Amino acid sequence: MALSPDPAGGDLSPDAPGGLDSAVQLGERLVENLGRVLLGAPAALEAAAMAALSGGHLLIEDVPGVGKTVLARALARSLGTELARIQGQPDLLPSDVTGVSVFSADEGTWEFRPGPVFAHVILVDELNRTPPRTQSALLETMEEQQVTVDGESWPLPNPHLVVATQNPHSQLGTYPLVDSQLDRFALCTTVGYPDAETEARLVRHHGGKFALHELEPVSDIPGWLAAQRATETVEVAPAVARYAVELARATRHAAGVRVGASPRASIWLIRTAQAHAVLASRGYVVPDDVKAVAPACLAHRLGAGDGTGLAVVRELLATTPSPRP
Amino acid sequence: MPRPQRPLIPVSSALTLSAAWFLVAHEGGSGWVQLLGDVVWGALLVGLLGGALAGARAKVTLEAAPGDAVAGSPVVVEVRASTRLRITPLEPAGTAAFVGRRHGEPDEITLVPVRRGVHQTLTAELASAAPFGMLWWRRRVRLPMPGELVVAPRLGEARPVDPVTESGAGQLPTAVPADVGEPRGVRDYQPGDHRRFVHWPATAHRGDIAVKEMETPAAEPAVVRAELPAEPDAAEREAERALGSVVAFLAAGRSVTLVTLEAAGARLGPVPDRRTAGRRLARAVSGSLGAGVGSPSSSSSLAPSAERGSVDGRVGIVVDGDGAPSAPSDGRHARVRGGGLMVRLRRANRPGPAEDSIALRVACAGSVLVAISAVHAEGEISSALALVAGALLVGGMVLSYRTRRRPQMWVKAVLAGAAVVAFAWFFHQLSGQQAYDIATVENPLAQLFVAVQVIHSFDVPARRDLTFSLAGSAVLLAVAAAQATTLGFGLFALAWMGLSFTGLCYMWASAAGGGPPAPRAVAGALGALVLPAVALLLVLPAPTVGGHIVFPVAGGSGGSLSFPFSLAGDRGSPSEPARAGSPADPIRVGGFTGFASRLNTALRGSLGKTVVMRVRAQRPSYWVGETFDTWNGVSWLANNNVPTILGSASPFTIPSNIAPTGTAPDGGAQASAGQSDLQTFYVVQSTPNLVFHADDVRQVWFPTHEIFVRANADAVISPIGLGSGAIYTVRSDVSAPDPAELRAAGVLAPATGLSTGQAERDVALPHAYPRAAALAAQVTAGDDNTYDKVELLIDWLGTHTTYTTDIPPLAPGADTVNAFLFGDRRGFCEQISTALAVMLRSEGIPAREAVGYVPGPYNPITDLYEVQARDAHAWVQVWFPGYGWQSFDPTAVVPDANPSPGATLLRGTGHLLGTVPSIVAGSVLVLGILGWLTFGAWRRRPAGPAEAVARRMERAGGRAGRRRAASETLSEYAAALETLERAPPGTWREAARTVEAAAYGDRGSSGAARAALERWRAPRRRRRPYRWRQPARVGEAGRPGPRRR
Repeated sequence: MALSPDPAGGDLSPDAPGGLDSAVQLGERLVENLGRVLLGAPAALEAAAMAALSGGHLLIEDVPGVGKTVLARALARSLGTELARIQGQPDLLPSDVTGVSVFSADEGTWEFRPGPVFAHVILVDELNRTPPRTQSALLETMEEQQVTVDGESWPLPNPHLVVATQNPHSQLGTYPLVDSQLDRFALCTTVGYPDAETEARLVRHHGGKFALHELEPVSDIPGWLAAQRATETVEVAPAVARYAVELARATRHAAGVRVGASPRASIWLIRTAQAHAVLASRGYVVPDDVKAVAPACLAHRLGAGDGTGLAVVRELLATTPSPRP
Repeated sequence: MPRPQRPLIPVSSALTLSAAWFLVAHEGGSGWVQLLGDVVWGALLVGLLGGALAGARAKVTLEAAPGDAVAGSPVVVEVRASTRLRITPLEPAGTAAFVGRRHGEPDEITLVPVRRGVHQTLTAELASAAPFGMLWWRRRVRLPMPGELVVAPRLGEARPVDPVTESGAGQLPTAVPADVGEPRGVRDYQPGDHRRFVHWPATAHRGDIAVKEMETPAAEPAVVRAELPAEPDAAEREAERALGSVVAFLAAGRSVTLVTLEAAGARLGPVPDRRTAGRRLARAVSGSLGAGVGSPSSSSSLAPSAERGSVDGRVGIVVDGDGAPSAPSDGRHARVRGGGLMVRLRRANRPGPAEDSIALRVACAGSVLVAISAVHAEGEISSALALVAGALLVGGMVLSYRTRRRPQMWVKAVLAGAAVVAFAWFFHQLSGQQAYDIATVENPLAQLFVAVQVIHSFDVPARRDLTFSLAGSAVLLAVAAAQATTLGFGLFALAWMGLSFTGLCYMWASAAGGGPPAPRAVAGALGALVLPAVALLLVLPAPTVGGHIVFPVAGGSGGSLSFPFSLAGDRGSPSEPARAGSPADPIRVGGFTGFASRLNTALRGSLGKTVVMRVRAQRPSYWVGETFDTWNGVSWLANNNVPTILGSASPFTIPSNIAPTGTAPDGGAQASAGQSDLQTFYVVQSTPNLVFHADDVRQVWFPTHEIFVRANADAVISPIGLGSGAIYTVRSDVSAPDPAELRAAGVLAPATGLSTGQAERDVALPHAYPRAAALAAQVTAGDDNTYDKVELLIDWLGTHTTYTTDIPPLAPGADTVNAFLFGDRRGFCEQISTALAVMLRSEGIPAREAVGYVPGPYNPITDLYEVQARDAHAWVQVWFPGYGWQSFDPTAVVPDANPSPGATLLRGTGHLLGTVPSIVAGSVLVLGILGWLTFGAWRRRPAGPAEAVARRMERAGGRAGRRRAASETLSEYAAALETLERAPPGTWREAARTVEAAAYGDRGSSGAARAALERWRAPRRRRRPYRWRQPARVGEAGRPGPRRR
């Protein structure tokens, strides 16, 4: 794409350090690719792309059948890898996620058999149906990108992206996600029902699984990694950083909030805002980026699954003074 | 920037007035004059510069205008102005009108375009004389039209042939194509078309029915070629004729093709109606069309005429270019300037437009009435004159109002006669006087001013005349203020300020098209006026009397006296000679018993704060009443010699033989050649008939034909009682030798220069004071110098006695000095000064007791010392050879018996403050305020171009009624503005993106971003197009408007 849409000179020249140009291209093509599969949900596509670019994990909350899994699979395929899938269920064990050491009778040694978590993109479907101990197995993998089994640590492939889904409406037989688990997700998004026309196209074999098979990767793993590194170099002005921190701090005193946003939330607010800037072909973060990602980045950390978190974030966005000019 | 219109007269009059005013205030020492001058100066400043500010800040937008106009016909355009203005359309021309009368509502102005043309903008001259209508400031602006204004030429004659009769047709073309002629093309089917004419191949191709269109003679268009000459007037005539021809053809039912040359090139096209033709001709430029242009396909049918301005030759109608065009008669430039002296005189005296505002007249008449009342209150005109003048003024104003549209010449003649009489009377008044100083001129001058005001009031038809009335009232009030001695004058000043401010505001309201003044403008003007006035008040030094003017004298309410030689009695009866009365009885002069033939130190007066008199003097001084020579142990006695009668008229000069000043040690003139200064005394309470003075009296201005002076000139006695209202002026020699001089004189024999008898009296003691003499000898031991002895004794009194008025009565038979010095050593001025005098006499030094007043509190507004009853004082005068009697006040160094710490502190602070000149304090204050304002502006300055543009966006959006919320980012705000219907369309989002790139991007400070930001201007607000005449333009993504000036 031509990278001089901005008369102000805030363009991203292709020789920019870290290949910001390639990150922008990747982001753009990623959104386009996902859009072929998941119709009529631009917010979810954007969230998925931002998660891919920033390296943050993505939580998708929605009712069954709107395309959560399809989105995750499309993401994996677009990024040139295959999706590892973990289906949440009450009798899922931690070792089913991380892998186990088995005794090799041939060689007479214990051999580590990696679990499904050893993949670039993993989908944890119905995360809240797994018991807490299995959920906690994911804690280490999500934050430290490693698995420790029998006292031995095994690094996970890099980049590593966890896409989890949960159904917030049917709470029967679920284990609500603990705060520490929720806090590890950079973004939380919903897919939502498509409108009638889109749905009509869907049933006429456009999009969805039908498109998934035809999907071409837009990148390979090294390209993805480079894009992530480039996204980290997006300029964040001190005023914007201050604004993000102000927002996060404001949640800690807001009415109706049990636990405010952690410093990790502030970090991810900025990193996802950087990704948002890349999606907008910009080499710098503006306050609007922060505002755009704040609901997805902060809301799930505040409330207990109900809508209070979102309401609080919206309220804070409307009251916190934005940086001038 | 606005330019002033003929600023010379108002500015020079303002400067002259200010200078004269300042001079008067500082010569006469009247703070009231200066205060009024400050206010007048503030009003002049605001009045002269206000128009510039109003003109520069005015925002004028054209709100709605029709798209079409015809040269010479009026077009109404809606204008919205932020303030009251006179707007004169220049290009296209129009009539001047006042706009902005109702705040925020649009006004209408009328344009009368002189020539055809297309106008994107309106060049107009804005003029404002806000807030007082004193000086007009003009500014030329180009206002963008809401849409193009296309001015068609006038309808000219299609000469020489009448096309209607020539073509002979008279019938209109029908919708049905005639089946004659050649097929020319196809067109849409219209109801009524015969099926025979359906063009089937075209129909099959298009899917809709198409019919053949035939060339018919009637449909043959007449071609009008408008080839305009270069000369604008001729081109105009040509265009008019072309339009006339087009209209004539159209009226004849012919279709017309008009050929014009536009800026982009020749244009040929059908004109269905007059409007289209007018619009085409409006755009036409002069130049040659060339032979081929205007000849469509069938060139044979259109033989282009070689003659310019020709019309299609085939139908034989030729519009030729002859007929000399008449020069446009533009009345606006017809004003004749220059001319001979008489012409200029007549023009200057031409009555202005009649002034209809009653409020303005009432305010002006009120100002003059207040000024007349003030002059009367200061005693410069009599009550009868004031009443008559007031009645005549009101009558004159009413008459002027009723005859404002038809000024009567005979009235002018009568008034001129009256003015001559007034001047003659004024000079007659003066001719009775001996000296033409201000004292004799001032009151007749005030009367003349009043007369002139009254005469003028009969001939004030126009606003200009009312301005003179207002200025005259200011001068009259200044005349009163120069004589004002009390703060009560402030009532007149306030009333006058209120009325004349109202008058000034109505001046502008009336000049700007009538109606009441806008409250906001009035408040602004008031604030702007008060600010410089207060600043001036703070910065200018308070006026002090210059000493060059002798103020008028007056007799006041005192009656004649039965014993004019002696001092009048204390009981209020002029028939009773004054003696030191008993404090139990009513005492006239505020309780002090000393202004009599004796000063009984056994009596204890109680002195109040009543103001006894006011003194205007160049410097503070002890106001001497009289002195006493003889001491009898209890009382001081004045010498009872018959005073000298001075029988000449005022001013009375005290002869030198009865006013010894002492001779210099070498026998020459007085060693310390004192300068003389003037004091004017305004008597408030009845006082004894003593003429007070400072130091040695030399000359007295007094409203009588004679005056008495005691030998030695220690007391000047008035032949009349001095009641309230009496005014007299005294010139005194200031004899203020410094200590070194006195010490030099102190080595001589103390009584040198005094006559023997006088010297004996001034050292005589009623009985021996052995203890006092011993004390004096002890205190002054070893010092032979008179001056040092005096100082030593005063120092001793200061350290060993205390001051209090609360002392027990003197025991009968006791001696005051002994009781004081060897009793409890508590006493007040009488005891302290008598003790000093007695001790000095015991040392052989001539000393005497003086009574009078200390200067009293100074009032900086009236520049007067306000002498209160408790300022009555007694002190000692000591004879110094060569320098005469010198005053020493031992009481000044004697500490209070029980001083309050606060009083001491206050005295110190007051002293400290007095040493800081007001000009320095004022400058510091003004500089502080300016600095504070500058610092505030500096703190709020935009950090860079990005923030500056953001602020401009916020301002532009705020004007459209959409303010930026605190939580809103600039992009969100820009998006909101773009969807806002009232906001001007523009490059809001793009600008916001640029700003954000500059503010947050790493490369935001690059030249490209900066240049983009500096290019960006807030788009002007545009209303939706005017009614239906102009189709709404789609996608007019607001180009950046021209810069607001």
